Amino acid sequence: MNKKKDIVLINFWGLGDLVATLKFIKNNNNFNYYIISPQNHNLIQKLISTISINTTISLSPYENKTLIIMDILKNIFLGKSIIFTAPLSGKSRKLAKFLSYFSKNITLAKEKGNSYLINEEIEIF
Amino acid sequence: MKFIICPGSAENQKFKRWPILKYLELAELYEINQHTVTIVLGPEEHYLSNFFLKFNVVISASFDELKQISYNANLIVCNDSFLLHYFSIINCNVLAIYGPTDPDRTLPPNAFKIISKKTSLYRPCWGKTYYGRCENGRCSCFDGLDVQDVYKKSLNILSI
Repeated sequence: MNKKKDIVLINFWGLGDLVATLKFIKNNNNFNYYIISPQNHNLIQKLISTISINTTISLSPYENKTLIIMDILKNIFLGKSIIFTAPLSGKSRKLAKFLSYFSKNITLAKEKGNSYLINEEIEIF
Repeated sequence: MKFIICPGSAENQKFKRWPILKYLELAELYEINQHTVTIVLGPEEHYLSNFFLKFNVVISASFDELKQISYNANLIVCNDSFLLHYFSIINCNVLAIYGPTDPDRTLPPNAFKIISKKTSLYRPCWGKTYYGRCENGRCSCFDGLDVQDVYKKSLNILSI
């Protein structure tokens, strides 16, 4: 039986930037992950399948910004642990900061520095 | 030695590409020195293949195919693009050529980087209002980074 805790990972940036999030998952495979990203889901799915990741990852079905925000709000109200991964700057940081007022279960990656190293520093509670 | 060259980047951020003619010169330099070269292009970059007519060019490869192509490659040379991140996470040896973007922000920990040694007031112009057009509408962040610099750096990485 899969008793791993579920974590929601959110990244609004490009496909290349999302690799830093996948690296985070590789390094923290004691959890199940749900990824929210505006990138093409088929592409993300194929990308994940070629990287050796030893845990369960599911993807939000939405790519549209409004629906993505609705999905985030749903996960906030369900009390899920949510992490906004690096890179997290500009408009995406502002949005993440705003949403974090609605839940204590939201972690924001640091703004400045190397995305891979910032994600390495994230602690999952 | 087997080299893979990925001269592309997202079409809407072409200014992140080291000049294509320099990539061509680099590929020729590897070949002259008895190395094997494969050019990898993304789905929107097929028109770049015209520059590499005498080379083995792979266009629009799937992730599995990229993995296969990279098998046994000694070094992959690319811009700050998706392929940099992809090849790094599957543990390939990658040399990233940085211009307008900041390696301190995006370089995968296991990748190598090279930037121009020429002093610039603008580089990296990422995050600035003039990103991609830092010198009167032209991105000058690659200026001063020559083929010989990248060639020497790649041999240095491979300890040749």
